[in-house]
Amino acid sequence: MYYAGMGKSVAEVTGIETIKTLVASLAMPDFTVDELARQADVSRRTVDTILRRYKQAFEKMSAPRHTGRGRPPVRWRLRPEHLDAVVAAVKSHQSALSKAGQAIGSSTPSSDRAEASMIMAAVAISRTSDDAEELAQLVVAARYSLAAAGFSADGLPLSGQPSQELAGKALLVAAVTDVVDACASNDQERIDEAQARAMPRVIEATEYLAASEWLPLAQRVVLAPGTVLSAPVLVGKDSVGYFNQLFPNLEAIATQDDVPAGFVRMSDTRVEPSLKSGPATFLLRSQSPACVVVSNQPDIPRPFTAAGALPVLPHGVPGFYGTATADALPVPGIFAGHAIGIAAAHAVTGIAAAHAVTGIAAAHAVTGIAHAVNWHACGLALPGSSGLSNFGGGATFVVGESAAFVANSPLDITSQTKSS
Amino acid sequence: MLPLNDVRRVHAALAHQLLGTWATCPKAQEAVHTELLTSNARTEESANVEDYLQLLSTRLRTAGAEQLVVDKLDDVAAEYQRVDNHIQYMFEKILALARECYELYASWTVSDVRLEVRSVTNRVYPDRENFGELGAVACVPPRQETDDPAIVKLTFIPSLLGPPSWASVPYLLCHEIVCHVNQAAPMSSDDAFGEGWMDMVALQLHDRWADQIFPWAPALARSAANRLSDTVLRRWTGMHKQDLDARAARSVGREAARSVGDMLGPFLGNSQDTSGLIQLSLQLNRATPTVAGRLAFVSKINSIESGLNLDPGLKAALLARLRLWLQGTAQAETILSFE
Repeated sequence: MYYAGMGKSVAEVTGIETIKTLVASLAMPDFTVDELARQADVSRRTVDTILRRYKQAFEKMSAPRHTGRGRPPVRWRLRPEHLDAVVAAVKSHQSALSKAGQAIGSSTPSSDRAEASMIMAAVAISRTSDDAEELAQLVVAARYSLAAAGFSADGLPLSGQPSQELAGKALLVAAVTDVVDACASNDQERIDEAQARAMPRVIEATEYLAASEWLPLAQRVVLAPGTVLSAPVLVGKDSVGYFNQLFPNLEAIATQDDVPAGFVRMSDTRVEPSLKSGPATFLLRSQSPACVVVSNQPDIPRPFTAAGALPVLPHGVPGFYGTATADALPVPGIFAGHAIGIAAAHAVTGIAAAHAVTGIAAAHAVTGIAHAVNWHACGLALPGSSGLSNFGGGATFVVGESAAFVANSPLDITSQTKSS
Repeated sequence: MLPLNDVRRVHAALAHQLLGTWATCPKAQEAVHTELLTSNARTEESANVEDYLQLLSTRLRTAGAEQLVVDKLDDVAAEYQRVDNHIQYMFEKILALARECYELYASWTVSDVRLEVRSVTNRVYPDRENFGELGAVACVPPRQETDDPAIVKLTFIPSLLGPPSWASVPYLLCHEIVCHVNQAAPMSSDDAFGEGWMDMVALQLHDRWADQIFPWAPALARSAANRLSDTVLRRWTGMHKQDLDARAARSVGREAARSVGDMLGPFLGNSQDTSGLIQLSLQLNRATPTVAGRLAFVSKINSIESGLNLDPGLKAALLARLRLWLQGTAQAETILSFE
């Protein structure tokens, strides 16, 4: 059903007043012109105009027996069969106003509601699901919770001046939501864009969020199947071509920082400028076993196990590491070491044939390396950081004196605090 | 050393005996609260229930409790024999009423619901209690199979089990049975619909049923329920994330329920009439199969009712769906997907 003049001339009465009047008419079982004007906070004249313009949608109610003096005011009601059409009219006006850049009106929610809604936005987007429909609902829940907290889907305040912490959290939650939404689309470009936007928010949030709040959100970004390297990397000069094959967006950058002899400092062109400086992560190519070591040290530990290097083994973590990969490397368990991550041998050596049989594996290797670098970018694997261990559920994530990273199940944290 | 469940029975018996005098005896409130909090040392010394009861009575008599309270102490021993029956009575009564309500308005699918009562020494709530409060908590663990019996676990913390805690038992049972036993979605502590929205409905039903489910002191049951329901909404800096998330979920769920209740009010002829919201909520609780769907539903409602008024189309859509449901031309589940 479509009403003549809908979304056009009613704007002369003002689109906002039309919307207010129609919504108010939906909220009342029946009404007089005065009652509807009061409910909608518009003039009687506006109500008269709306009732005339949408006359098909409204009907006069039969007057009850009137015993007093004068004529009783006419009572109106919405015709039940026109409910959907009135909703459509409201949406049409809303859309027209939005396109014209007109604000419909806003006010700041109470701080209690804003805080509770923000917590729920984070809760929703931290949940995981294998079901596409559920995932879509979680994205919806996060975005509407942001709105209830007074923030747009971009995480910007809709009105007022929220606290710095709430504003920061809104930006983070919005960015994480975009990543989850992009992952659901399986569109690599979208995933990479969303991840590149989200990583700075994730890193900033380490300054003001407790680890228990931060980690579930950070995981959704870092463990997304993206290919963005969010920390600068140091690559051996003889491996530049190799890593450029893996990461075509890596480019050499000039820096005043000391670069070890034989290495080139590179960064991903897609990351924000703020992430192009700061501590770099070594990307090391090992020939035997054939793999990539992501480390904070320039040397490849030999042998891996003796040196304490730890393969990245993420059962349940989306991405490159599979059981076969894990089996191919010596996996002694958890011990102190200095490799942040080792991308799997089979996958990386398959680069030449990446576009054939091992295409998926190679792509996953890239993602795996990105995971390790991105965790490093979060400061979770820096030398000298205090230990983080004893994660629940059998998950292991170790940050030791010499920085090692291993994940063999989705990370979980209960009461631990993130290392400084 | 007295077994913890016996300590719980003694404290429950004392609480039951003091239901009628609690509100008007401030000295006894303080004395009982202190006695309960420090009861561990004495229960370790007591050889049996009789010894402990005797010790407890003597200490309360000498602590300056009002005569009205002292007069009740002699009856605690007899009450001790009945407290488990009282719990069973509350459980069965609430279960029957909830089932009747669900069958009237929606559906009831659980064939077997059982009660398990236990006692623990550690506090469960992170909050600071008032005299005699926060001494009971309940939950319904997830069922492995749909045919498995639903278990309502009622847990007492004897050192906090004063009359207000005892009077909050029917509310705790109402919450578990109305909100969770028959819910379609999996259990989750941050399910805003199950923990917040449905809690408000459980509280409304509790208040309606209080005369039947806690006939000994229905007014105290109502006030204890309201206090406890409000307590578990409070949040503060430094609270453990799990508690913080659960309380935020309760808070936003309740807000959403209140908003929809306000929307239904004018169509029911009386804004205080909660029957429409109760009926709709029981249907929705049976119709929402996923926590994600529930979170999306609640957050949509709160986004339009947060005072931002940014999306009148969404509000219009919700109002239209509610009207169609009220007219009987649409099922409750159609409301879930309003947009």
